[in-house]
Amino acid sequence: MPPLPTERAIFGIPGAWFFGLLVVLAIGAFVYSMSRRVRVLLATAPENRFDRIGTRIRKTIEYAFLQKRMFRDLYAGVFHIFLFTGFIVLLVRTVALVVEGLVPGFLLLPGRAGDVYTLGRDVFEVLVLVGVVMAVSRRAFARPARLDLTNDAWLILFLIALLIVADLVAEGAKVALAPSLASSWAPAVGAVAAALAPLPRGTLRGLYDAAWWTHLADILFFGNYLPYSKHFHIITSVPNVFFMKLDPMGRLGTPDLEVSERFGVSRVEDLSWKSVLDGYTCTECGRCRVVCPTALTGKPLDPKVFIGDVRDAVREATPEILAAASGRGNGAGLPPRRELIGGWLSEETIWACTTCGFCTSACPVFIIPAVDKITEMRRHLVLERADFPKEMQTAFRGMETNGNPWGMSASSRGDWASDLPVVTMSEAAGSGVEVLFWVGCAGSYEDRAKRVSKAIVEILNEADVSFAILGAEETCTGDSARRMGNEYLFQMLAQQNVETLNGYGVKKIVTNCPHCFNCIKNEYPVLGGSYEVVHATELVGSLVREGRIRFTEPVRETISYHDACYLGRYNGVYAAPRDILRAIPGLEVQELPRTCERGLCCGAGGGRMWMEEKLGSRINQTRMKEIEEAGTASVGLSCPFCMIMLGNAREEINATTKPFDVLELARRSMGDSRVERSA
Amino acid sequence: MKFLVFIEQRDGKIRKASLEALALARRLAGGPVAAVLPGKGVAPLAAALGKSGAGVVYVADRDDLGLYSNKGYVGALSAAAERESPDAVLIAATAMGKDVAPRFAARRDVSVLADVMDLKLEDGRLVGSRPVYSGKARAEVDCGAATLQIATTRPNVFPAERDESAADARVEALNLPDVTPRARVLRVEASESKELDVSEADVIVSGGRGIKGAENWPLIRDLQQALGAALGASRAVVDAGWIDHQYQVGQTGKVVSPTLYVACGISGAIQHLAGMGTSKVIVAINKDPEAPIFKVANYGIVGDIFQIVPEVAKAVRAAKAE
Repeated sequence: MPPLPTERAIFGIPGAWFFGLLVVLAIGAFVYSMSRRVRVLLATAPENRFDRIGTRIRKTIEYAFLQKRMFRDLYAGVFHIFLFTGFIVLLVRTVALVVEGLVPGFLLLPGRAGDVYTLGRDVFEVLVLVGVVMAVSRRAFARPARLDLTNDAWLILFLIALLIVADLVAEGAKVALAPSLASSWAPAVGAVAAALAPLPRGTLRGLYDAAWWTHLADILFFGNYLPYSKHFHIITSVPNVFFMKLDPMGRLGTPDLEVSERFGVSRVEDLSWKSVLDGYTCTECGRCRVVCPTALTGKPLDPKVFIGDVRDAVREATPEILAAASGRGNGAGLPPRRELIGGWLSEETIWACTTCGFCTSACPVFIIPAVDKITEMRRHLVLERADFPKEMQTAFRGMETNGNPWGMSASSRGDWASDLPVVTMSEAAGSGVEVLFWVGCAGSYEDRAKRVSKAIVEILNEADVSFAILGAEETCTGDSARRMGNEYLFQMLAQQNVETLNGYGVKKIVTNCPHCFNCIKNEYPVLGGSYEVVHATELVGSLVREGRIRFTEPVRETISYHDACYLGRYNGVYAAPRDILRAIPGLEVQELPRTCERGLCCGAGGGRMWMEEKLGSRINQTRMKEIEEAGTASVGLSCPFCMIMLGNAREEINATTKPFDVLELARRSMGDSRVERSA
Repeated sequence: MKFLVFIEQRDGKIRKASLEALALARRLAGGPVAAVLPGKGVAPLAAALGKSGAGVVYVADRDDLGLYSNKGYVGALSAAAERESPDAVLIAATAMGKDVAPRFAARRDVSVLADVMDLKLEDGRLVGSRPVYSGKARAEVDCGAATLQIATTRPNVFPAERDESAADARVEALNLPDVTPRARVLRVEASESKELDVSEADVIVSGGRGIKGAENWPLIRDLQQALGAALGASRAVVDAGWIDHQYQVGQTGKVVSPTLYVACGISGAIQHLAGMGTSKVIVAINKDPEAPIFKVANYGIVGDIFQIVPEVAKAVRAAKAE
């Protein structure tokens, strides 16, 4: 067996000592870098992510180790799992090598176990190399738009390749020097050894030493480079998945406004530690950008850039945060920082977001790139600075004074139903109403949505569902207000609604507005309102299955379905509206190119409905063009705001595809209902 | 019952709103009333006020009243009130009237029936009516037991009737002490009268998708100019790039509440109604009888705007020419 490279003297000191010194320096530097990162996490705003540990462990296995979200992009998923598992397997090898370098003759696993590990190492070294080749060729040739070709990425891929090649060469040279070490458990090393065998012993000796040192130096450098690179995700991804947001995606943080003295996020220090960890963890894979409505239409908000800016702002603020946290002064003398809002992130960026949630649901490691952070920043802009696009004021005032963003008279909220057989909760008091039909602002006031509300009433009456509406007692859920940053207005509206609903002892609520649906279902429980909330397509779907309504009139048309963000991505309701469309005789349902989890937003969410879209191209037109190109006669919708946005876009681009609410079509297919026949 | 009416003039022309107040006073009094006319070089205008209902006009024609000052003009009104000892004072609720009335009332320690849209006499007491809650209700107001009753009248509400057979008013000069206004007017900068801003206009003519293309704005402009109105637009035509966003009326544009809103070829989507639903009188011209705009319109014309709008403009010009 050839002597280990550390068994010789280097610069006059024993090799093991020299190597030991190198390892200690490397570990020391790594601990220093990590402690700076961890202390920033400890110094930023608190947020409890230590609850529901069992669920967290389960999710970590599912998404960090089995990497379920990575395989949505199969090619990337495959090479990434090669690299990931390779790293885990080779981490053991690295530890063994370092110990062996310090204590010659150290053997991690003796006998058969060692053989099995040797095989594993050999296989994974090859797989990692395959992975690197796949990654390099993707960057060099395929160049998907979600990637930005940075030097950082090339460097890391080079370091990984060097790591593996050096290890294979070192082992191969060792075996070539001492053929007795050859093992059938190490086929890759065997192949390298066979290739190197013709070389003179002196060259092999030098090769062995050089490759061994290269391999270990690479590892020690690599580990220390990570905290300063986007590849920090190698260290932070697993914890980031573990500490993921377990609350429903559609539930934003609920501050106690009575005791708060500052609102929202305006400085790095206001970010929660988990938001900072999100920044550390982003490896710029760009999955968040591919169906981002603002990135696609030339707005300043690109979630990948956004989270990168947050990370860089944290990096810039780190010396000051650490100085303040350690009590060593207030950071005086440090270079001035750029403002988080207005500096790193423009206000246009913050107001651009439609909160469609694509980026949140796309991230393989559960970073929330934009939505929740942007809402926090909007809170600051609205509640502390009163600095927001001026047209939002109309919506705020409308919600405040009349309980709807259009400012239509509150007393006329129930007028749409005045000539329909519908009772209000106050009329039905005590008569055991099963379901409350939550109509929403659009369903109460907007012309087209009112027709849909009417269709729903007819369907429910036909199926003998015992239901009532609140009429003038209903008020805006506050979804838009909250997502536009007016948390105060949201809580005011929500509390009023919760009081009304609890006052009537409401148990079950059905609504056709996905924004109301998400808000009541996911956000009201925090404010004391817990109900069973179903979307109208879910309820009608169950009525169809139970045979309580029947679709008799064929609708001979082709139709596509546009997913509403707050119904689909936020609440996983993909099947119910499609099932209804498929149950309608004659209707031929086609999927759009971007559908379900990848469905493109109409542009109205996050309060964008109430703002002017002045930058880039129009989101609603972009989506409507895609729908039009799908070539169906109509498109099914399940959201009154999608209806307005796409309806407007249809006129603007002279599209022919007609938008219908799924339940309008359901009603049409029911033919003359019993209700009408008896009238 | 003795009335005194404050008459406002600008650039040698009596304001129509003041003539409305004067005619109202004559109607309520059942005969000629007194008026006060402050200003510089205004004496020649006084006698003709007889046709509008003035029996006597107290004129304060002075250099130091050339520009409006609260102290000077209220001083003139007070001096006239001293001479006339009226039971009631009427002032048009213009910008000037809204400045004069409160100070005059405060000097006399009485209240003002502000911005009334209707005014009648009940047992010698003035009873005014004015809109509250964005026009959803009307409040009836009176001055209680005050010996001097003051009301400001909303412009464009009362008719400015003239009696051509009436005699010229008797003109009496007011002797006033020199006025040293607390605020000195250094210069007057008239706003560049490019175009009336839609959010400040009392009359608005708006165009929607029904105009079919940016090249057809002259159709709407014609009616807008005939009415002396501001130009508005629906979101659809702004989004289509037919006109700049500053003209947009609606949820995300300007929120307006003019006396008259004429919607031409606008369907009346809720985002538009949110911006103009509180207009006092809404006139809709649209070829679709089902268009939601007709649900909020006070007057609706179902038909092609390309035929109707020019006719309306012609009729407006004819009516104004009379």
